[in-house]
Amino acid sequence: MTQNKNFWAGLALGLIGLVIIFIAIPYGVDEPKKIKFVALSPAYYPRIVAIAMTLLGGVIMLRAVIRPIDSSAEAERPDAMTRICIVFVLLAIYASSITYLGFILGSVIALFAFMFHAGERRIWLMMLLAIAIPFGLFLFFQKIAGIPIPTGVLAPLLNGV
Amino acid sequence: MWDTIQSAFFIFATWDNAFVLGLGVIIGTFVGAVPGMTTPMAVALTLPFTFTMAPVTGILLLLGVYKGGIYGGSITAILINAPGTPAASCTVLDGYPLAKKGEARRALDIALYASCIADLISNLSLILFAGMLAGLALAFGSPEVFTLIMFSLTIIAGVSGDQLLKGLCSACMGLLLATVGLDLIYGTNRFVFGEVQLMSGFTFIPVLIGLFAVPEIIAYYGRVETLREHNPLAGKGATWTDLRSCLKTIVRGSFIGVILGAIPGIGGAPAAFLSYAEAKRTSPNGDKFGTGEIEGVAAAESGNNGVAGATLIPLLALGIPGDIITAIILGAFMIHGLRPGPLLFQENLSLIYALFMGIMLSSLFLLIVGKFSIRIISKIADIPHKLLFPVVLILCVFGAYAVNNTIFDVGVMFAMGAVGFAMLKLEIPPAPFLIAFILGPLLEDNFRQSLLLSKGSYGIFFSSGICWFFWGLTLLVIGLTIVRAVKGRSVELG
Repeated sequence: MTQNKNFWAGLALGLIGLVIIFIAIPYGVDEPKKIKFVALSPAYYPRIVAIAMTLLGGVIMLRAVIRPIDSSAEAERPDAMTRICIVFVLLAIYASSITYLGFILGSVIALFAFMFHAGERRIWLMMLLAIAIPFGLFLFFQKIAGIPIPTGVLAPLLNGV
Repeated sequence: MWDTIQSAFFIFATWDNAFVLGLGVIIGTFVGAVPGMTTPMAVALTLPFTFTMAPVTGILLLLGVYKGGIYGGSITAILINAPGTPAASCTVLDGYPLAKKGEARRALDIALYASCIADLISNLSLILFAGMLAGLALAFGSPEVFTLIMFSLTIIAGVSGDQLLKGLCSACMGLLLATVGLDLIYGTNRFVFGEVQLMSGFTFIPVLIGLFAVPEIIAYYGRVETLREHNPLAGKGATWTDLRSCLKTIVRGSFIGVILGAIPGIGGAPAAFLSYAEAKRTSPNGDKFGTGEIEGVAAAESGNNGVAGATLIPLLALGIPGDIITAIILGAFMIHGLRPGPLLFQENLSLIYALFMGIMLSSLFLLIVGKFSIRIISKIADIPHKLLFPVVLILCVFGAYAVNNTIFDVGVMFAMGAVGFAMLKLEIPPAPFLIAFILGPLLEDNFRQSLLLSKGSYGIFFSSGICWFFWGLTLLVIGLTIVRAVKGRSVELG
């Protein structure tokens, strides 16, 4: 139901705006002691935008309560929530392991896991892609573009490559 | 005059020049199509290879890379929802929905035709109107640019669809995200919270990829895999009818690109969005923009590519680089002992004409390279999603890292992916976020610079005819949007 979505969207946006006004700006923006004009203050522009966002969030919430609108939801699998949670867990593991494992090994494992989670079951194809794509990207960025790619635990093996 | 053209032709007409120009377009197209590999990066990497070349040959190689890169950015925008360059971010709005419908090749074709025509118009404008446009560009100070960007932001109403309020909120988030980093005037920290990496603000590419590509990948895992509906246009390229129907939009977008491109510091993204906004307002299919309308792709790409030749206007005529790429090209000129500006036109006119000839040829090379590459590249859209999406994710990770060689950007991409997914679930349109994030720094910098110039007086924003012109346009668009919304509401109630 869009009504609920609009309500939650308005609430979330309004809260973000409030957090920016009352927490992020006072603690996150260093204002010089002497400012020639108020409008030149580093906090002036973000404050105006955050106030506008808070007000708009409030209006969205109010509208959701006053004028409910139905919408057709996208077709989702019955286990969509679980599957998406697994994706987030996989993403978190991938992101945090990259520093240690390096881009190649981390991506090999992640690619295999994501393809398996997507429903692919041809092991040979998954192995081939999971190895070829990260290595191909590594060679492209490292050798052609001259961008050093962190190799993590594979560094001793790839030193000569 | 004729002697100069003749000697310019002899300087230009060598196999070396034709070869490097073609090679440059191929390199640029390829690099532009890789998320994370930006066109400035490609031009910068190519620069050392030009040191030993003749001046015209070296500069043509860089120009080839530049032109190819601008077009290449649209390829991934259409196929995988991850724009290769910030300027191609407008192309995703209609390009990716077309690819989802199975019309990737049609979208890629129109993107190519729009790019080539816009490039040609931009090159012709460079040759014919360099002096005049350079004068106009100089009339744009901070207040004029501020009003221009304000007008460009009215596109937010267009891309928000029936979610205008949420679209405005989304734009606010984009504007706020763009403020992170060191303050332009005082050099103090804003929302840095002790993180050194945040001092230079968020980089475009990880944010763009995170906002568009990653949520699509996450959402795929929750969707019911449906058989693709048969689309009679699936696998087919654009027809003459398609091109004819988009021609007016392409020409208009090209001129928007030319005018904005001539103004130093504006870049391709605002031109693409402005062209898109104008096309949406004037097209009979305006309501379909954002859902996979071929004219939307043409508008974005023509605006984006119209900038390519025009950015050379302030460079060649005044010696002012309009963006990072032209700054690198300025470096190439200087390495070869040339100093762009009025003196170059007096002392090395034949060299300038030789460059113009090469620039004209680059449009043709772009068409040839694009036509060949589309046949192969459009097959990507046919790869099963269970293989394509995981591979795209890995490509995004490498791409996000490659922009600044920092894992921090990979984290930014994932974080923006989570934000983008939340926006998807709450039906908050991401396009206004993106537009505001790209235009935000220009808006704020010019707003504050203007106030600094006027010592705090807001009257500076009404100090010239150009300012009044853009304020008028902005008010007109806002008025029309309100009228349209009220009419829509009364139809709904009636």
